[in-house]
Amino acid sequence: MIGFGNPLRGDDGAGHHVIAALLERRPELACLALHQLALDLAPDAAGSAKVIFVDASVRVRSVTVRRIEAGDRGVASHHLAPEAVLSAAEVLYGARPPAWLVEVPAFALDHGDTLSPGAAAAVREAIAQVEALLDIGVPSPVPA
Amino acid sequence: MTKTITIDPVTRIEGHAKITIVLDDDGQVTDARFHVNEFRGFEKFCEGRLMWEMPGITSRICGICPASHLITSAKAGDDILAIGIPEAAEKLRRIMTLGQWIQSHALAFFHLASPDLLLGMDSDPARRNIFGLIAEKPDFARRGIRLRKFGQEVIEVLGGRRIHTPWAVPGGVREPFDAAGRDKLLAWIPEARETTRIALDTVKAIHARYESEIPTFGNFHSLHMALVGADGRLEYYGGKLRVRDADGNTIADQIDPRAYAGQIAERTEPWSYLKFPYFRPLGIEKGMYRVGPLARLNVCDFIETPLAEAERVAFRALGGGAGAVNNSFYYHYARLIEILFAVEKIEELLHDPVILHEHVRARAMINRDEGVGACEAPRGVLFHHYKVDHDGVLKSVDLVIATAQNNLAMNRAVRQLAMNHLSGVEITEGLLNRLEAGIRCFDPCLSCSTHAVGQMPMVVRVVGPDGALIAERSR
Repeated sequence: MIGFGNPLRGDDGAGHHVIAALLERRPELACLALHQLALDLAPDAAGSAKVIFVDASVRVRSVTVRRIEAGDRGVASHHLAPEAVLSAAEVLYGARPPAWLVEVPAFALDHGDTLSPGAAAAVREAIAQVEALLDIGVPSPVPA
Repeated sequence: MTKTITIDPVTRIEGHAKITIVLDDDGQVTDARFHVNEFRGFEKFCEGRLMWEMPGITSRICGICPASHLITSAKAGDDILAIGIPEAAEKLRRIMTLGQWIQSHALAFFHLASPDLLLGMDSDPARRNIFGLIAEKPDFARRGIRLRKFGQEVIEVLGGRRIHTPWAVPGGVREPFDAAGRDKLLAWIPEARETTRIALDTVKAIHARYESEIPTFGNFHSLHMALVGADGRLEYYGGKLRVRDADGNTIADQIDPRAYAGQIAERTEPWSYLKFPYFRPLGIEKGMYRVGPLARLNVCDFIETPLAEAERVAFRALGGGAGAVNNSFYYHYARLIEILFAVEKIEELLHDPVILHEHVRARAMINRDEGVGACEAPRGVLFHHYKVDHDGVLKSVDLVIATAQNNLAMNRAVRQLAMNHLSGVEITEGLLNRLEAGIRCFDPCLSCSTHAVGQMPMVVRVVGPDGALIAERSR
């Protein structure tokens, strides 16, 4: 479980809130709460049975869950897209763990460590959806 | 008619910037400017906050070197409290500072600079990135990723999280260390040392490959400034300021960091949010100085660990005799030598039983109305200067960031590269990348230095003497 975003910019920290809740419910999970994704996550992703990324998004208006695959290798600075982390896991470690991106709608991105009412409700929904993902069996790898 | 070329944004650096090249009527380069066009204003909005909050607030300036801000801020707090901190706390802070060097330097070398250096400046830009490097040299890339992970592990094991840890505080650190954490870090040492050795061998081979380009790759005379120990050793946490000139002569030594303002003046320019610090005693014309790995190795007399010291001697030979190494290309080499030192020194400190002592924090009230913290951040010496009221509420904040201190030198490097690689007004891929690579030697962190949230894409513009845009290229 990788939740990422800036927890001091309101709803951008939704991924951190999801991770915090899941750690309480399922302490056995390997969870990371990060500001951004970087290549050093590749070994973690490669060693996981499933990878679930949780990010805040201004592009969605409700919680969105989608299967993602390795790709998007563009890199201009110090951070990556989830697909790029998976790509590094595949190329460097030969691993293709099944992965999902859970996007939590963000409504307010001002300074502050609290969620807007809309994002708080969405976080609760995201937790439920992530738990559902955790409870399903490990799907077959995406064909190469 | 003057023409200007602009590169906007500059890629694979942290923050947002552009490069403008000005041509005269004959098409010759007359000037080149590295513009930083992001602004954050940390110094201003920290006013009114409590001094105690500053380590946590200022570590948010940057996601790459938060531990440097954290520790420098805590040191400024120590100064305001007018206390010495427990020995265990200082040694733990030293370990974290070195972990910060490793993770930041590994990122700069393996992720950001190696694609240029190993895949070639003229290779396909679509593949000239870390993923191209992964495809071409997967073992090297894996090692680089692991090395950075070690640096992050140092920070995480000590501070409880990889970035923005609130671990260091005025008076020491929040929590004692434990044997489990120590052993976890010690287990990394052999691999980290081996990876650094491989990287050093690689960078030396790169020097041979770029033999014809290196002489004009940001090669110019400047001063060099860094902290050194009382015996002249390479410092990273404590020490005092030393300045050497391009010939290796020491022109200022053992300057208390509290007196930094007497040594460093800053000029502002309307075309950049990044200030232009210079060595005050010599004025802006002669006072350009560099900080960071290149400067640190030029300024110190020795490194206290054996493997890194042997490399330092080889590095200094590049300067010929006693002279300083003035070529910015060798920042990469210096960075790797510093990683080697950091690995050696961390191992030594981890074997020191003092680090497990339970006393890690001294407590006191506000005992001075101002304090200065200084530390060698990965990119160079970093100063935090706070003035407070009797309750510790901040009245003013001055942050002197390493990247800003290299600003004059980065502009000089860009100008030299433009003069040597610009032909006509066409912005070729080779020019574009060499200008960026010249900037990357310094590994600038513009988020830190402008106090910005931003991406780091790149734009080059060619402008005429009347300011008219002649050509533009971006990616």
